[in-house]
Amino acid sequence: MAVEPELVAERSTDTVLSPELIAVALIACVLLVLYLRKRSKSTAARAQYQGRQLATQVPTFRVVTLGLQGSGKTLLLTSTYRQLQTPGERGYYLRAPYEQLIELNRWYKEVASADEDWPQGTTRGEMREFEFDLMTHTNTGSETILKLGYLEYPGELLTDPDAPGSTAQARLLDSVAHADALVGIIDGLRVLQTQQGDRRGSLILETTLDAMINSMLSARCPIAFVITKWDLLDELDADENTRLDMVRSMLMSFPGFRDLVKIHSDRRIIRLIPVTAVGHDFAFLADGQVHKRPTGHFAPANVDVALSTVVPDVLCQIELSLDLATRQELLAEAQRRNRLAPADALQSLASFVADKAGKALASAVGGGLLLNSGLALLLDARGDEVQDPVQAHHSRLATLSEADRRAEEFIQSRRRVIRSLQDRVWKLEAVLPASRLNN
Amino acid sequence: MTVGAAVQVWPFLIARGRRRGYSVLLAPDILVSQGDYGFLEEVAAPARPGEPPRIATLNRAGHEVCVVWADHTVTAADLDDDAPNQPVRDEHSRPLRLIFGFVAMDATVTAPAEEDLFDARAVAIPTYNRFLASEDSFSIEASRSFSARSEFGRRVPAATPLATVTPLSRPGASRPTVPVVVRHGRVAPLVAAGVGAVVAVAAITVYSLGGSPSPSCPTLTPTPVVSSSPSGTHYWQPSPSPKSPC
Repeated sequence: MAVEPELVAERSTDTVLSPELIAVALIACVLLVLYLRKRSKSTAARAQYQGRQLATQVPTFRVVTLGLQGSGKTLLLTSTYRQLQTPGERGYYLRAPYEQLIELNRWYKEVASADEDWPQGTTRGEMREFEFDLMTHTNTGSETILKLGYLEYPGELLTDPDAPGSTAQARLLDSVAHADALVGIIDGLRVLQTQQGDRRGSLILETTLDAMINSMLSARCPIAFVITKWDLLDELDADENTRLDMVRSMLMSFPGFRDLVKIHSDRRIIRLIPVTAVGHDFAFLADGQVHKRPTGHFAPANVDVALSTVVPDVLCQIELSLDLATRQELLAEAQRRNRLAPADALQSLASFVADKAGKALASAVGGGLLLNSGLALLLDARGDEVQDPVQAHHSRLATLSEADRRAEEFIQSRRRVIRSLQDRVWKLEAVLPASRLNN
Repeated sequence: MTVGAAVQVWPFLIARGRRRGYSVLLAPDILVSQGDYGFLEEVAAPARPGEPPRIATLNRAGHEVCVVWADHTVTAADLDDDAPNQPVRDEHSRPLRLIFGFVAMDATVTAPAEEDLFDARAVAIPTYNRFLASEDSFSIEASRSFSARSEFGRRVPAATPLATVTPLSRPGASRPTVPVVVRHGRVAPLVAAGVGAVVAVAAITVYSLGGSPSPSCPTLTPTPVVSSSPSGTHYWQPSPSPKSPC
């Protein structure tokens, strides 16, 4: 089809110089200028934001239990969450992601119902990390103080060779190597069998301890030991501390275990925590099988103590690992932070971690835990010793801006939680002095 | 979709004994000979009560492997008569569980047939009894294939990983300190301005040149899909009607 030359020229001119195109080009230019201006402003704001995020980021403590199959790891996890899902008198509580909450509730129903069997045991396909938020209430709402990672895995990974093509064992060993705390799970049934002279029970107990020794001997992180199924040992003696002392003596008669405790004693208090995930009136042993009582009362005991032991211990171990000069530097930083407004104090951490003391701290715990927020937690804990926390708290609140007030609330909340965790351990030790493995 | 009369599948079994922990007791002979069957344990997480059989597809050494499984709580009827007094529990008083099923190579199961699972279990039970008879000295048994009656979907190129087992979050892995949204915010205005300008110019140009309306959208036919859960496990379900892209 032929087109007349004049018409083509007219259309071309209209398209290039149309007012709509000019308007669009102008809008695009204005948007670009606005964006560039905003970007230059936000660069500084972002740096400030990053610093604040760096300082207030919630640390994650990864706890790995070391226990053979059937030792009670899953029940301990279930009952621990059950007990800590509300604040009670502690002032803190655990919150789980919804998908994991459903799983924990399902396990709880299986365990607590007299009509149902015990849970069927964890397979490699169910191996995963549960991540809890350790929460507390503040004047401004609920705050996450810590995140707790808890690895759920089948205990046979500690003793059986992995099948070709499986990566589960390698993942477990990697988790153990990167753990912030290790909790050795000692099966109370094996302890009972050993006390009763059962040769096989004794051999399995020895295997349990060997698996722990292998993983814990070179570990620098806090360790603790838990005796599960404590209710099955009620028959050993009426007095609980006497019972625990008997078990303690028996465990310390294993040379490897004794050496493990001795080596770690230079750096930390090693605790032996008797735990029942179901209570003393829920199950009984008959014909080698543990049965649920039809009218048994489900009342877990001491299931929260393992976490209460290792979390504050992480902070203590960090400090103990420092040389004197670094510790003095740390103390000075804590004092300086207490003089600062809280919001500024949090921001000051970003620069502190970059200097000598910060680097020393980071290397002292093998990195990972102490990145920024772990350091904030440590400095907060140290601040208590520098200055009376109550007096400091009130004097600060009088002059704080709203932002500072919120930051102050957060810091104080963290201190309260740490103190609450420590109190729990001290209360147990007051009742059961034998829970301390080293003097 | 094809009915797998000619497709071969292999039974497998994962179970725990009275004393020994979970392990693969029965695996396809081709995987046993290649020394690559441990992944079955990581893929075949037990189903929750009332759940249908599970399906997972993954890529192993360039081959698409489709795993279909169910689980079964062992009863006295499953066990040989030579151990009538033994409790149907492990030494920790827990019920014994079988995770059994079949494996298809380079083919995707879209609807597992009950008969195939039944046949797989029929092979697995004798293996389990042999295992219980000598847990400590038992070594893995190799299964032979049988012709499947399940429904299979179209083949996917073997090099394309369909699903992988969700890895554990690596301990010590750092989290981003700056939300991703900040980075998105950096380019979003530019992209919006640019796209807006281009669209406007194109519209004006088309209008000026007297362009015709855009062609109508083609009709899309719904096809069944295998949906992926976070654990890499798939449940068959019909796909919702696709939305018109126009």
